Amino acid sequence: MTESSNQFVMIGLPAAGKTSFLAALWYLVQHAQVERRLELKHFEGDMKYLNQIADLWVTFEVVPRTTTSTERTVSMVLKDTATNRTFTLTVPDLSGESFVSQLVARQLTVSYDKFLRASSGAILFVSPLDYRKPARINKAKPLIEEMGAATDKTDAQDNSSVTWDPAQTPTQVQLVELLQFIADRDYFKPPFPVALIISAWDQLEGENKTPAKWLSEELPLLSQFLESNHKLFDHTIYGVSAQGGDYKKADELTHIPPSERIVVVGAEVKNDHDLTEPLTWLMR
Amino acid sequence: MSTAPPGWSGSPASPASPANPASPATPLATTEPVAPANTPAIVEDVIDLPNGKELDDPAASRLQTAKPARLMVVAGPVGAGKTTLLNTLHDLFQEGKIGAYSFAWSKTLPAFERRCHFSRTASERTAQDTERTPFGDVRYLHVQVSGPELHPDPLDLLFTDVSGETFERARDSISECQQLMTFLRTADHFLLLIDCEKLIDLRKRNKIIHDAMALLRLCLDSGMLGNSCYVNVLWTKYDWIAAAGGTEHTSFLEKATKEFEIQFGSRVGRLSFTTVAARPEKGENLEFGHGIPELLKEWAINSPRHRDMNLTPGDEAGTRESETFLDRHFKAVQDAQ
Repeated sequence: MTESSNQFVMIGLPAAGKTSFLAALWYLVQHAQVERRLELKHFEGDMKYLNQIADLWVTFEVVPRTTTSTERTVSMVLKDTATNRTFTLTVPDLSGESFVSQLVARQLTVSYDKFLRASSGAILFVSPLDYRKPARINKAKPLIEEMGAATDKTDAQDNSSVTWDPAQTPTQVQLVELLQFIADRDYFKPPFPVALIISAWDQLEGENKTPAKWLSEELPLLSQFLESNHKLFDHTIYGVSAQGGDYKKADELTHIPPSERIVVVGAEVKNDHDLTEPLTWLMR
Repeated sequence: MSTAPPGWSGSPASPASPANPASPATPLATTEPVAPANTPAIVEDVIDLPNGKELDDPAASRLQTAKPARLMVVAGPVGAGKTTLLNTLHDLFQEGKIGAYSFAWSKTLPAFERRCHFSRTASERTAQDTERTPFGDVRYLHVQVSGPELHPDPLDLLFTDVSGETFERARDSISECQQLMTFLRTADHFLLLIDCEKLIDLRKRNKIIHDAMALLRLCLDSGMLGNSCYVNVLWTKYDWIAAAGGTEHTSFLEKATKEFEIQFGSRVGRLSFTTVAARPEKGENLEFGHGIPELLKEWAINSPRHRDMNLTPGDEAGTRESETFLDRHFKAVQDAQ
């Protein structure tokens, strides 16, 4: 049995599901309710933040998004049940705003850069409930005209349009840029593993698509980027429901063990409740 | 939107570092103490990232040195569709692969986004528009493309972003051309845009072709454009001709194509012709980005850097391409009849 550490960086724009993932993970590794590859070895250090978010998760409360003032690094001492190896998992819980700030200010904080340098992989979060697509006027025009919106506008309004804001560019453009930033660092060593997680997967159940298919249809630029750069970013794509369903219907979820609420979908998934699979994929 | 409960931003137990990772729940700013809530936030040291704007000459040169990036000169008068062509290339990749080709990288993504803004609903405009490129120094936009013929090395395309005014100012003087268009020296492809909307005007159309030929001749005669350069003549805003119907305009294009062949077929490395309707507005038959997949394939398959040097420039390759163009249009005319 060896002691080691694994650092991963969690990347995602605001409300992409990063903190909910951490909350569900902290509960899952502590309980033997479902088969999972990684389990908690023992408690260590300050667990206040993880306990707070996991408490909310297990009681069907919405886990608050991380803000720039609540960013922190969290660690868990875990055991790989397949190898008996014990290691410390360390991930920073950065706010989505921090990533937007990278795109707007075109700067990385030194602390993030240091963490990135020591990281051996990344988890990239995408929310299917909150992403911006590049809406072309001519494509949207028939719909706008049908709604009567376009005809109400005057020429004067047309000329005084909203100025361009880099914070409002399409989600796929922003995520590609964040990955390009990583690959441009002088210490970057390919292939850098990236587990892409499409969160709130339960909301897409009716669509009968694989996570990879959903990504290629909804965020095609990101999908092309990952395929084109598979030598730089070794990647796999998961659909994850960490919350496990709609909390407005929480009563329907109370009769199942909390860990069973978790759903993990993907081409390489062995256990569809095992939230540690993206982590073990990164460590393989 | 939720907010964090009180106390979540409290002081950590100990700073975390890669060497000492077992320090749960610590702020990421590892080297600085945590400020109490009522003190000003500590300003962290930062590292500058690439600004994502259009590349200037030195940056473009560095890219060409580091990678075999191909320089694509986008030429034509004001309003010919130069900016729209590049914006649409960016827009098409945002909607999926372009034919067999995938987006791989761009050093100028924010620049593309800013330029596309007025064609997006986020601008709150009701009609799409394109911002004119101002007169000034040349700038470059970068796109890297992967695809079946581009394995294992993707194709780096570096497009010039030059105002139409530059080409118009240079037209009357060899020395002006040499002074204003130094970027021509390393051009791999010369994209000559000819505005089909203007060709609809029967009185003016011969002047449009005359001006386009004069521009190409000027670039060659000044010695700025090498004779190994691949020239793509782009009939832009082709939706105007498609919507006009009949054979009047397509016959005119065929004649103009033949004259280009006679005049320049043997003077450049390759001469090809493509109809383009980047953002078609006339008629309803042409798709968004019409002609761009064909162009991308042209650039992917035919590289002046990999050219078989035994080929007579402008002979076999050029003729083959123009025949393809003519065949297509004869067929279109026949179909219409």
